[in-house]
Amino acid sequence: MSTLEIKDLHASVNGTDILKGLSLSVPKGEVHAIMGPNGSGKSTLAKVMAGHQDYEVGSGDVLLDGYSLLEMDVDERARAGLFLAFQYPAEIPGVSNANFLRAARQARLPDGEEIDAVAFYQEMYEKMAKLGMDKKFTGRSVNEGFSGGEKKRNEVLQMMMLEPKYAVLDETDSGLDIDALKIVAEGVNAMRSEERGFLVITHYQRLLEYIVPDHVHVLNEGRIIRSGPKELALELEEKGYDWLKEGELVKS
Amino acid sequence: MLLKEIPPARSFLDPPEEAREELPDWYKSSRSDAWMSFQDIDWPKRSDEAWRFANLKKLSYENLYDAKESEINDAEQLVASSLSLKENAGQILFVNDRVIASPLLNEEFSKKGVIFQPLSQALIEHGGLVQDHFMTETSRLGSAKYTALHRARLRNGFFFYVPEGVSLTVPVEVFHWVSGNSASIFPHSLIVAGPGSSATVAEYVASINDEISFCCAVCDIHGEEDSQLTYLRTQNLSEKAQSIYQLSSRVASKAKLKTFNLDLGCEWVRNESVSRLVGEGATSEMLAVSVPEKSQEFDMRTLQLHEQRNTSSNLLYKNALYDDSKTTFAGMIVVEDEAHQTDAYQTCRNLLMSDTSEANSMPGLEIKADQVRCSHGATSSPVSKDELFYLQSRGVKEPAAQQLLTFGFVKEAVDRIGNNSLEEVILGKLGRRFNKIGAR
Repeated sequence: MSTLEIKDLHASVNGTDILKGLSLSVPKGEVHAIMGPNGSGKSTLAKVMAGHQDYEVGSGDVLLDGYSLLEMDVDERARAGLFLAFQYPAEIPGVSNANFLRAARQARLPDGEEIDAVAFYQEMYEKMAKLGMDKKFTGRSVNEGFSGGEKKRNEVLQMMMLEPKYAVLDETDSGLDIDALKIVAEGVNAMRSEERGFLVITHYQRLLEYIVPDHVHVLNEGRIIRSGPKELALELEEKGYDWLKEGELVKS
Repeated sequence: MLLKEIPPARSFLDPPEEAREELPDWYKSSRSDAWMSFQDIDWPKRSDEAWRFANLKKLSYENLYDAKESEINDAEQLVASSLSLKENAGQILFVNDRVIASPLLNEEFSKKGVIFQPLSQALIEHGGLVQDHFMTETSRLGSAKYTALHRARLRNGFFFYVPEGVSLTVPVEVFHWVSGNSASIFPHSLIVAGPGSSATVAEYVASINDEISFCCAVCDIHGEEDSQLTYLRTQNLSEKAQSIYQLSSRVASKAKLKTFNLDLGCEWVRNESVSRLVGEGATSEMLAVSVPEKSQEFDMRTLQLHEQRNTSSNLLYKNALYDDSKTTFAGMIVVEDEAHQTDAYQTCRNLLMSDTSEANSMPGLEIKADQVRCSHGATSSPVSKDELFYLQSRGVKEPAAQQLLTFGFVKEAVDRIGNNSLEEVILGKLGRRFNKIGAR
């Protein structure tokens, strides 16, 4: 039951089928990577799991510890323990990072209970320090005017503050230079635990040098066409995706 | 009191009360002339360009009367509840255009020649100074009828004068309360920032009870050379009230003026704001926020008038509209022949929180000079789905997410006030407003 399980998922956007029977299981305590060429459906999978309204689920299910995420509203999914680190995080003018995080934490408390502001700020500053983020980011509007790297760090900060059961990282490496990549990876690695599962979506093998996965899955045309150990990522780097596409051999 | 008390209720369409004996002659005749003009000027019509989109049916004068002296049961309580800032340089409190607590100005500033008095007192003690600045601007945006009405019927208000080179480090505050059913008030604000001076003024208008009332206010600001003035006004009258407010400013060479207007109350509001940049290097920033709900209608007309070179103006109006509310924004930038190297910006943004709210925007430009940088734009849109999705994906429930986004939307204009304690006052009022709407 302690798994994030995707079962034969079919999904489309604007009438175009993108996911065509995707199945995958991420137990707690493991890091799974999904790799795949552009257009294979990687980001669609992330958005569908989070509940983006532009994506329509045809059939299949996504179960978080046995409960169907697809039956829940977007915010309920998050409170149930799912976290999506976005490839392109939204900018929210006028809403400070601190107020944003506070609202997210507040939403997890029972009605009538108030967040302990002092403890909250202390925790936030500690976690920001780990990510090399200046304190001034707390007062700045969420992601507004942030560089690509700053946005990604901010995503990881949110993940650290919200401590999800399962985190989906959508192309968290894109837009990061090598130093930022190391910091972000350290943040993720520090959160690896028996109580948490990760699904790391990436186009390049580079990220997986720093966040070493337990399993690697290859996504093509909306389906997993190959699963294997972490070495599969290196093989892909060497041979490219075409090598797999030709055979389309599913092996797990 | 500026005027003799006359007991029976007097409709404001009747001739106004006579001014007191001891007031200056110029003022008495200005008052009677204004009453004549009022009778000559036609009532605005919806077919007038300046009243396009305005719902004049919501303006009713049938049963409105000059506000009478109000019996305040607990004046101290009212004074205490009026205080908004932790610290001020002075304060004046009015109920129905009558001073209810002794006007106050820190001694430090009165010694430096700062004048902060009820207009009724200033007319007698500083008649010449008042005369030089009193209603010197003509009505340019359609409300000449109401300008005349205000001049003819005004009872009180304040006069704030900062002499050359004097800096007030904390704001002065003015409170206007209105009380009594069908009461009408005509508060006047006259602000003169002398050369090289700096000051901040905060003015608040509110109802004591949930009653029908009418407020016809005029504010004149004179920012002289090199002065720096920030003026803020909040309007939180009852939901049954109507308000017409005209703000005119003259900004001289190298002077900097910033005005901020917050509208929350009233069934119907008409705001006209004119800023004349009359000296080289003058700067005017015009900010406004409104949060109408239910069937409230807010009508805003603005004019940025560049008369000299190297002047700049920047207007930002932000409205968050709920339910069946309606806003109209008509903004005009005029750059006169001589006003080369002018920068003029005008932005009106409307956030539509319901499908039935309506925002009308009419931005306009008239440029007669060269090398001018101008931009104007108006947008109306609902809350961004991407922003909402992002917040919800972090577990924030939809109503809380909507509230956070709306607050963020209006905050952009509030942040530009550039004075922390004033921003806190405004954000506090907005926070209470959004909580009230969110809790429905």
